[in-house]
Formats: sequence, C-alpha cells, structure tokens
Amino acid sequence: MLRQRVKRFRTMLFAKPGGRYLPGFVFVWLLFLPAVSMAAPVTADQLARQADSLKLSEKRYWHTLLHYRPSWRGLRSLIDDPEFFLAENGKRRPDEELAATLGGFLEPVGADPDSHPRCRFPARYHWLDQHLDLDGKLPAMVCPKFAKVKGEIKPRSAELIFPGSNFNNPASMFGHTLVNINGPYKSKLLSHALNYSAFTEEKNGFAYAVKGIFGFYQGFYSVLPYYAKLKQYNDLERRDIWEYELNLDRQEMERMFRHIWELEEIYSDYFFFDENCAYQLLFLFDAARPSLRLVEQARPWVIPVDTVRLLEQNGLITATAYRPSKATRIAWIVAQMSQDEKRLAAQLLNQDELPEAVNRAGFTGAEKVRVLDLAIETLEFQYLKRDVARPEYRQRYLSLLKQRSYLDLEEPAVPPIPVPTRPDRGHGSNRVALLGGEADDEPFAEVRLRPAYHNLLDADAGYLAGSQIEFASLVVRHYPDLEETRLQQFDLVSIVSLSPRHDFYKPISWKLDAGFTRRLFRDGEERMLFRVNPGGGFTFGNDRQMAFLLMETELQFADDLRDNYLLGFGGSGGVLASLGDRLKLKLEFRHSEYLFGDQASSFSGGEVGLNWKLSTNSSLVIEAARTAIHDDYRSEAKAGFNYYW
Amino acid sequence: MKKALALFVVLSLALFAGSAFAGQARNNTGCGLGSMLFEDNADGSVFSQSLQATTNGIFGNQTFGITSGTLGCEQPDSVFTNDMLLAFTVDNMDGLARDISAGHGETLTTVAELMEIPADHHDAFFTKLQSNFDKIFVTGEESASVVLNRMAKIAG
Repeated sequence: MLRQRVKRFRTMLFAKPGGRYLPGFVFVWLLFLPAVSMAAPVTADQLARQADSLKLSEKRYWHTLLHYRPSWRGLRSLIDDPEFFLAENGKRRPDEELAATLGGFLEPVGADPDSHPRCRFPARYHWLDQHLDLDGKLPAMVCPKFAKVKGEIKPRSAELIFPGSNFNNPASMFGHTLVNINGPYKSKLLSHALNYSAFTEEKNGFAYAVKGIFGFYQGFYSVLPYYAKLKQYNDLERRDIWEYELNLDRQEMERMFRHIWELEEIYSDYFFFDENCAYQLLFLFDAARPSLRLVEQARPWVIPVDTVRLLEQNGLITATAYRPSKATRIAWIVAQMSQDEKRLAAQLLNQDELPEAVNRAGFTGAEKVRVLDLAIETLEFQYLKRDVARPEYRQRYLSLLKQRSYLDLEEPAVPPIPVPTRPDRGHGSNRVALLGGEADDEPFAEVRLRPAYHNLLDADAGYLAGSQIEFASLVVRHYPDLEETRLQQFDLVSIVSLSPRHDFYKPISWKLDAGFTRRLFRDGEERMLFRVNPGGGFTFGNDRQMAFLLMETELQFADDLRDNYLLGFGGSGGVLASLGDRLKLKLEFRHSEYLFGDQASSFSGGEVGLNWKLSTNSSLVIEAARTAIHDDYRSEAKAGFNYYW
Repeated sequence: MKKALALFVVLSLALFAGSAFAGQARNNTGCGLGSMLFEDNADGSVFSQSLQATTNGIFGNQTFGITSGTLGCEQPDSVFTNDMLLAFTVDNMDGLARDISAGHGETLTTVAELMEIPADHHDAFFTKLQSNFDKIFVTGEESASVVLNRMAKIAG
C-alpha cells in the first residue's frame, strides 16, 4: 500500500512540466512521504461509504453518464463494450460500478497516465468530485492527451446538424443527425462534427443490410472536420442540410466534451431503428445539461427529425440555418436561366465550346456568371462522382475559374435560394386516419395507422417533394351491413422516389411496395395475399407539379393462387401536383399483365386522391379508385380525416 | 406464407445489395486542384450515413492540425506556422479556387479568418485576389502552401 502510494507520488512529480530536474530531490522527499500521506489518508472504502450515504449511485446523472435505462429486469446500460465498465457487473449494477470507479481513481498512476481511470472517465471524475471533493483528497494529476485534444477542438458551443433525405438513397430516407462542436471561430467550416455510426468492414451488401438492421454491428462515435461532412452530405449525396444552433453554454460544452471523451473507442450494438444515431446523441445533451431528460422523453423508435423536435420542446434551439446541397444549387441556377444560357452551359460541359465563348454570345454579366457557375458546379459534381479523370478535371476546372475571375458583379447573378419549411415544422411522423366510404355499394368505415413517415399525398412542407416512405402501415375496415371487420392492408414497406429530371441532372425514379393486401380472387371473393411491387422510370416537372412513368413488376403470393404465386409486368403513370398552399392532387393509372403462375389475366386500375391541409398536423382526404381484375370491375370511394403527431 | 416472407426479405435486400458498400479510406491524391477528400463511401452507397469503414477512435487522426490531409503532398517550407490554416487549405483547395474566382464564398472567408485578416478588410482583399486569380493558380498543381504564400503576397 505504502509502495503504491509512493509510486503514485513519484509519477506525479515527474509528470510536472518542471519535473526533469527533480530526481535528485526525490530521495529527500521520500523520507517525508509517510507523514505526508498520513495527513490525508483516503481509501476506496471510505469514499464508497461516503458515496453510499449520499446515494450517489441512485442519482439520475450517474445513470445518464453510464447510459443506464430501465429494462424488463432492472437497469441495464445501453453500452455493450466491457471496457466502459470498471466493475464486472457494471452493465447492470450502478452501485458496483460507482464503487469500482472510485477504486479505479485511487489506483496508482502507471507509465501511461492517459489510460488511468481518472483520465479515461473525466465526466465521472468531475461529477463525483463535486459530491466527494476528490480533488481535495487525491493527488493532483494531469491527462496530457485529454488536454491536447481539448485544446485542438476548443468546445465553446454546439449545433445539431440535420442532413435531410435525398432521392435514390434509401438509407438516407429518414435523414440523419450529428452534433457540431464549435470552437472560437466565426466560420462554421472550422467546427468539428461528432457522428455516431456503425462500424464495419463488410463488403457484401446483402450481409451488410441484414446486420445493419438487426444490431450485429458496433456503433462508435467519431469526429471529422465539418467541411468533410459537408462534402459527403451536401455535395456528394445531394442532401440539403439544416443547422440548429443550440444554447449550450461553455460549462455545458465542457461537460459534453468530457462525456464524449469517455466514449472514445467504446462500442454499443447498433440498431438501425432504435439504438441509432438519433437516440445515442440524446445522452450527450443530457450529460451536458443535467436538468434535461431527453433520453427518457424519446419515443421507442427514434426518427432523426424527432430529435430536432425534442430539442425544440426543451428550449435548446435558438436559431436555424439552411444549407442547400450542390444539387439544389445547380437546380436553382438552371431555373433562372434562359434557353440560350442553358445551351451554352451544356456546350461548355460537353467541351464543344471553350469558356471564352461566354464573351461572344452577347450575354450580360449576370448571364455569363450563371453559365459559368452552372458549368463549374456541375463539373465539380462530375469529378466527385469520378465521371471525369483528374488531369482533365483540373485543366477544365482551372480554365472555367479563370474566365469566372474576370467577372465581378455588384449584384448576385441569381436571387438567394428560398428557404423551405424546416423539417421539424412539417407534419408529425406518425399518422392516424379515419375514413368512411363505399366499395361497390357496400358502406364501410376505415381506420389507418402509420408509424412512419410520409406519403405522396401528405403535405410536402418539411419533406422532400415526390417522396414516399411508409413503414408498417395498417388498414382495418369495418362493414356495418355485413357486420364484418377485416384487415384490409398491411404494408411492410412502401417507398416511392419521384425525382424530376432537368437538363443537367437526370435521375431515375423508382418505387418498392411490399406487404399484405386484400385482392379479388377468381371465385369473386376478396382475400389477403402478399405482394411485392418494384418499379423504375422517369419523372418530369418540378417540386410542385410532376408527371411520372414507371415500369413495374408485380409478384403475388397466396395459397389460393394457382401454383401459389403470380408474376406480372406492367407500368404506372400519373401526375402529382400541389395546387396552392393546401391542396395536393394525385392521379395514377396502373396496368399489369399476369404472365407466370396464376396467369392469363390482368390488372387495370385508376385512382385519384386529394388532400386538403387543415393545419400542420391535420388534413382532409378524398380517394376514389376503379379497378379491373379478371375482367371484374370494382369501384370504391372514401373520404376522411388525417391526424399526424 | 412463410415462403413468401422469406422471398420478400431476399428481394428487398437484393435491392440494397445492388449498391454494394465500398468503404474507402482517404485517397492520397497529391497536391493541387482535385485533391479534395473522398471520405468514407464516396459512392454515396446505401448505408453510408450510418456506417463508417474505419475506426481510429473518436479523435483518431481527424482533428485539425493533425489531419492527414497534409500527407501525400510535399509541402515546401511555409511562412505559415498555423497548422490549421495549412490543413484546411489542403483539404479545400478546389473550394478556395472557386471562391477566389468568384470574389467571395465561405471557404475563402474561412481562409481569411485563419490568416487573421480583419473582417472589414475582407472585401478589398477578396477583390484583389479575384483580379489576380491567374497569378495564384497557374497550373492548378500548386500545393496549398504555395497558394497561401501567393495569397499573402497579394494581401501585402
């Protein structure tokens, strides 16, 4: 015991900046050591008793720092890495973990002070020090690595960063959240972005998707310069970004930073739907401001935009900023251009003309700037996607920029991009609908329940126009005259991505429906079948009015189908339009020829839907459809009320 | 129905598999324009937002000043002692060039802040830079410190 204490003291002396010339004095010091140590003796037992009497292990903040959550058999930490716990049962026992932590703090400091529990767990130390006066009882100690990194990051304030969803990337469909740690700089590009994400070296996309959803991957925090994240999300992945400024003060940021430090190289099992990025970040805010209870308030499944709402409800958000993606910027410039300007920009990009050509076209300064800016942004994008080799890119980029540098306008060549509705100000991500209608003269009442997230008819404000993402959507119908209640539909997933094409960006639109639905069989009865319906094609128009045409495959399974299945091919087309601020209209026609399995028949159908927005979280809906299966015509119409929360 | 469900899972996952994940570490693309970062999954693959291909710990090599961005590009002696300025410029050469050619922009403002040029001098500085664009970027192969040196000379 004594030797340990001596060793600790010596290390401490050597660790001091001026310690190098001290060894000669150490011997003298050693003579006095026993007396010095006796003056303030503290043992792990004493500290533990003191902590017990204060009931520290029952305090909520201790549970926040250790990520304890109630489970069906007592408390359990969401952190799965054993390295995070000093007690063997630390994952389930806050009291044992607290005692072990105090014991760890008393351990002698080895050759590597950074790995000492006091340096590994600075947030725990800081909080326990406030209650137990550890600084007064333990020898002083420095943590070189912690001090160095903190000096580089300089945490002063924070922002919640929300990259929205993008077309054609299913993984981005709910958006994402990360935290920007701002230093003392004015430029946001110099912030550090803290991201929670799963780690893998998996190269097989199939295994990758399964494991991602079911928690086989380990989630870690990582920090990158914000500008690197912007290149990924804003430029490459075409995602508009929202920045939410938070009112965390410097002291709170210090608390957050200490807790982030504790999570260095610590993993938790990553679950795509619940223990995901959005949920894990909430612990950081609770750690930063002890009065917050964000983790407790979160829903069991957390969609990133709900994190934003939660922060807003708790008064954390003070300001917002919108950062349009490169794709949005390109589309905006294109929308301001005349046909002549577009033609020349296309010629520059095809290398049919050199940048100097802007001077010959008789363009005004603003017209020249638009042509060049469009070419510059698009060429950058092509290079990012590796469509252009580097030497060619460099030469062409430089010659475009050189031409651009001759143009210095007083006024901007394009008006500022209008700021869309904030994602958190759109309709809630859950929806319930009550409808009444008639199916072939048979009246019915219908209840629809949808836990996530948005469909083509829902108001676009805050969402991506032309996108639909629905999970686990349930439709139940009651026919009062038949005294019958039926499951009408249960969608596992229904995704539609209608992405309008323009001269400088030509994306593919696609859809995927999969789930159980009620359909007419040959015998004239309606029964459930399982259906998978993927499709792909083109969309034309803009965010407000678009027309689409998709090729589709239809695969159905049911015991009552001949050979138990059916495979058909066909297509769909229609229009989706926003009329004014409140009304949305969808018209759609579908046709499929059933060619395999239960073949020799077809499906044709047309439907119209109208949605009248009453408020952010409510709307009236009218839908009518006429379908023909096996040459048997059916029609139905219904109207009702949507409520979102 | 069980068969059907199994088939659904296979089909829907095949969709994801189509855009197979390809993790890429930062490419050492050398100096000059076009050496911008290709972090993580540069192909924008399906799970790229929630997955990363490397773990160096939270604060691995990724804070400013110790960024690996200065690797793979020989930097001649620089008058700048500011690691952060150099690291930022290396990683943002293309954006900086674009902003200088336009006479404004966030990347350029950031470089000016790191060069400690007072905010009320920015406009004049940027105009000067814009009219000297072709003296700063001659070949497009200039390293960050060469670019910064030329900018400093223009700042006077």
